[in-house]
Amino acid sequence: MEADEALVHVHGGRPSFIGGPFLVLSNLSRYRNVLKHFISRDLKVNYHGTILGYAWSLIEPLAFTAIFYVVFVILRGAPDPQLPLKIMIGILMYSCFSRTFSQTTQGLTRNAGLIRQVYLPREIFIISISGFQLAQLFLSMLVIIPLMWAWSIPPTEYLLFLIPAMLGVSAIGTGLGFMLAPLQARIRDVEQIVSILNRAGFFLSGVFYSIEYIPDEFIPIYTLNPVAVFLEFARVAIYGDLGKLTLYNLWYSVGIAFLFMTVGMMFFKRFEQRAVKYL
Amino acid sequence: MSDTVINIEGAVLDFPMRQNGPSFLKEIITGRFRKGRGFAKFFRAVDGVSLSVKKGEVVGIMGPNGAGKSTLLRVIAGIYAPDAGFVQSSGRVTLLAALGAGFQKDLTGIENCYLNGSILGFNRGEVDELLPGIIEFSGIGDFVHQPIRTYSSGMKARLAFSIASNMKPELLLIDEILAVGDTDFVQRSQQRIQEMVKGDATVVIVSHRISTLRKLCDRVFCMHKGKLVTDGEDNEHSFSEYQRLATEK
Repeated sequence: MEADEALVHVHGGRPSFIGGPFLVLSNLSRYRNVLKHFISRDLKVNYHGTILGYAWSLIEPLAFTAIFYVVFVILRGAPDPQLPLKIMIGILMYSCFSRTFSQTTQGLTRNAGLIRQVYLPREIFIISISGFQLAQLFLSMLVIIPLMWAWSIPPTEYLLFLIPAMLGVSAIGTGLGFMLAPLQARIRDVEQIVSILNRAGFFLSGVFYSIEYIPDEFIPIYTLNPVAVFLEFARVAIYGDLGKLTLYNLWYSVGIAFLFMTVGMMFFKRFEQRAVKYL
Repeated sequence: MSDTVINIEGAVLDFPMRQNGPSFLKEIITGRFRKGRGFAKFFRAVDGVSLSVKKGEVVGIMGPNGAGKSTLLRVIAGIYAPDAGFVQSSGRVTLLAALGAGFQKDLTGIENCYLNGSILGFNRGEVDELLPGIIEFSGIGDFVHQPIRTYSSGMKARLAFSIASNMKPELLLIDEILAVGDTDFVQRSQQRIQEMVKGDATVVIVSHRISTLRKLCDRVFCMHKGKLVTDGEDNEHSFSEYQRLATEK
């Protein structure tokens, strides 16, 4: 290995709020090898010992859709035969958000052993969690190919909306996790609160219903929730129809996602050094 | 500058005394807004340590239990950022302490080698080159293809030590090792440490064993209550100081 000047470490002082995001980004590019290893480790370990392996990330949502079909369409006779597909997309998107949120919140405490043993910029642990969840979501989203075929929905260029939608839910979860991870190291009650918030968010973000069930006068309030907007845009991507949404909703949510990430990184860099002592 | 590997100036590290339950909640609510009264109590583990170590030097630190030696090593490794003062280190830092803490139990020994290598800044190709040496020295044979959770604790420690010592650390921090594995492995690991110490690596050793430090170290410091109480000029003075402090208790 060549002698590289990059290996000079200076520790001490407190990072400024403003510098946080830049520090995080430069560390991520410097330690991208470790990041790759962590994400591939998580993918490997996730279906470790199963026969079907990665296929499970497709089988699971397919089976869910089948169950919803039986429950909602056959047993309850829902007027909308596409409801199972909509619910499925909602669940995939929302579980990416909620898992990212709760696991990044525990990103420091869960990795305490490693953190006390080697020096790594601690944002690696957070980002590797959200990278893994995002990879899982991408894999599971492939399920829309057979489902769109089964419901004979023609693909349109709206499918491109899936990309900002998936990145968006991940970014919001990660930003929140960045803010709470140092606090969680100090007060372990945080993860319990996060789990309650996730449950509440589940009902506020239109997983089991979609925006067409919201009365028009409440749409401006409903679309304040960026997770709900991203989730709805994943549905828009598949049906190729904006419905009650406008592009303005998307820009607003992308802005919020950026804001959460930036503020999250600022908080994280500012407080993680002290938080590590509580591990 | 270039031949100073570690430069510590006035490093201070406070550990929070952990508080749990309702009393902690009360402190948050009442204490936070009361100025002058800190809302958590602190324990000063490292108290204004200044130290500079040149490339290739071997420095020993001894002191009674709870003197802050291990914490100081972690400050040098960058795990804890000092609350005051600063710490500068250069090169690939390896901390040999609780061995195997970084292992993933569901991955195989080899996969863990790659993971550990990437943490220490090696890419895949470089780990490929080091791999035969690591496996050979650890002496765990075909088990490297098995998940870590099937390993005995001795095997884990052996693999961990083998990885850490084969990754050519430029700055090696050794904390009270290593009574793990069978006698043969203990002997070989002691030998390996001596090789590394004699090579061009810079080493900081924390130990209670005067004989070990006398044999290996260029400079020995004695630490007590977070402070370096000797200046490292005269090693025998540090040893006698250590004995005095250790028996005083």
